[in-house]
Amino acid sequence: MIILSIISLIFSFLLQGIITNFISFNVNSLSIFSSVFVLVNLVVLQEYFESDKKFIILFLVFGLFMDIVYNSTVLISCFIFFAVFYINKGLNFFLPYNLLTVNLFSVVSMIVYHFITFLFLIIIRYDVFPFVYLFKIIGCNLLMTVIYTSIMYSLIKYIVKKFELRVVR
Amino acid sequence: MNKKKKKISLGYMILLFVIIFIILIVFLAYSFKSEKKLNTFESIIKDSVLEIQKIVYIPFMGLDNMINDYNRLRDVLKENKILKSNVDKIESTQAENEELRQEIKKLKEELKIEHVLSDYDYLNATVVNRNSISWYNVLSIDKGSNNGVEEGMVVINSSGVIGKTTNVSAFSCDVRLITTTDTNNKISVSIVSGDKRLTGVINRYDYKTGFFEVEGISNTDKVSVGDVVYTSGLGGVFPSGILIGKVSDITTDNYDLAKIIKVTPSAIFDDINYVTILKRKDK
Repeated sequence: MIILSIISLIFSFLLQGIITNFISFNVNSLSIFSSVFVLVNLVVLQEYFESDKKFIILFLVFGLFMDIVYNSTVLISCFIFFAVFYINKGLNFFLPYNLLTVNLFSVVSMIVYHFITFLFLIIIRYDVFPFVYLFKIIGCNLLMTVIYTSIMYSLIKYIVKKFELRVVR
Repeated sequence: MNKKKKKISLGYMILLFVIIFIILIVFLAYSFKSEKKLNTFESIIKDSVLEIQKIVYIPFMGLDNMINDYNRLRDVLKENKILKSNVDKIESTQAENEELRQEIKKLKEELKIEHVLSDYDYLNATVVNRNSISWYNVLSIDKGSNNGVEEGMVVINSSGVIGKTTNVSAFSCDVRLITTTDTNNKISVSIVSGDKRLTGVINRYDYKTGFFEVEGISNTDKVSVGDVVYTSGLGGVFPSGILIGKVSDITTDNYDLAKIIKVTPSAIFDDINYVTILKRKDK
C-alpha cells in the first residue's frame, strides 16, 4: 500500500506541473482544469493509513517538495498540509469514508490550502490580490478537484481490491 | 481539576498556534527576499525533480509543439510574401542600423542611462516547470549558476519583458514574473508619445483588468492611447528599450496632479515556453 501511495503521489506531483503545458497558469486567466493534485491525492489516501505517524510523514515530505519545486517557499505548504491532515482527521471522525464524503474532504482541503496561502501572502504583502480572487481561484479549482478525487478514489479502490493490499499500520 | 488541565492545554495550543503562525510569516517573508539563495538540500531536490520533469515533459511538449506548429503553418504563406518584399530593404536597413547605433551611444551619454540592450549577452532557456496553483507568479527555467545565471537578471521573451531571476541553483532558476507587485519589482518605464519621452514607474499589476498601472507622469504631459511603453533603463536593473506594452487607458489621480496610465502588457504571461536571460557583458 505504501508503494502504491508513493507512486500515485509522485504522479500527482508531476501532474501539478505538466498540466500547465495545456492550461494557463496565470492568476489573471484561470483555468477550470487546475487543482492541488498532491493534496487531493493525500486526502484520498487517508483511509488506507491507520498509522498517523507514517501518513503525517507523507504529508510533510510532499508539502516540502511543493515548497521547494513549485512555490519557492520555505515550509509554508508543509504547514498547510499538516493543518489539512488534522482537519480531515476531524471530518473523518464524524463522516464515513465514501465517494461523496471524500469529495467533500478534498474540496474542504483545497479551500483551506488556498485560504491560508492567500492569508499569508496578504500579511507579508507579497502581492495585492483582491479578495474576490480567492473565490475565483477556489471556484476554478472546484471542478478539477471533484474530477481528480473521483478518479483517484475509484482507481486506488480498484487496485487495493485487485491486489488485496493491506492498510498501512 | 480535569477542567483546569483542559483550560491550560487549550491556552498552550493557542499560544503554540500563534508562535507557529508568526514563524511561518517570517519564513514566507524570507522566501520572497530577492537575494535569498537556495541551500544545498533545496538545490539538489529542485534540480533532480526538474531533471525528472524534463524527461516526463518530452511527450507532452512534443504534442504541444505539434499543435502549435500546425497553427503556425497556416500563417506561414502570408508571412512569406511579406518577408520576400522585405528582403530588398535589408541593405538600407543595415545602413540605418549603423546610424542608429551611433545615435544610441550619444543618447545614452546624454540621458545618463546605465545599460542598454546592446550591453547584454543573450542566454536562451526553456521553461521546465510552472505551478498550476497560480498564487506565486513564478516559473522555473533550465539554466542555473553553471550557465552564468545570477540573482536578479532580467528575463525577456519575443514579446517583451517577463521578469527577473531568483532562487538560482546549479542547473535551474526561478523567474519571478513582473506581474508580481512586490516592492523589489518596480520598473522604471518610458512612454514614447510623439517626439517626447516621458518617464514613469510601474506601480502594480491590476489582476481585475490585466493592465499594468504606470504612475509618476504629470497631468500636464500629453499621453495618448496606443503609445508604446518601454523600459527606461533608469534604476540599473532593467536595460532600456525592452517593450512592456501599449497604453490602453488614461485617468488621473485623486488630486488631479498626475496621470494613472493603464498599459496592456505585450507579453502573454499564460503561455511562456522559451525565454531569454540578459547577462551583462561586463560581468
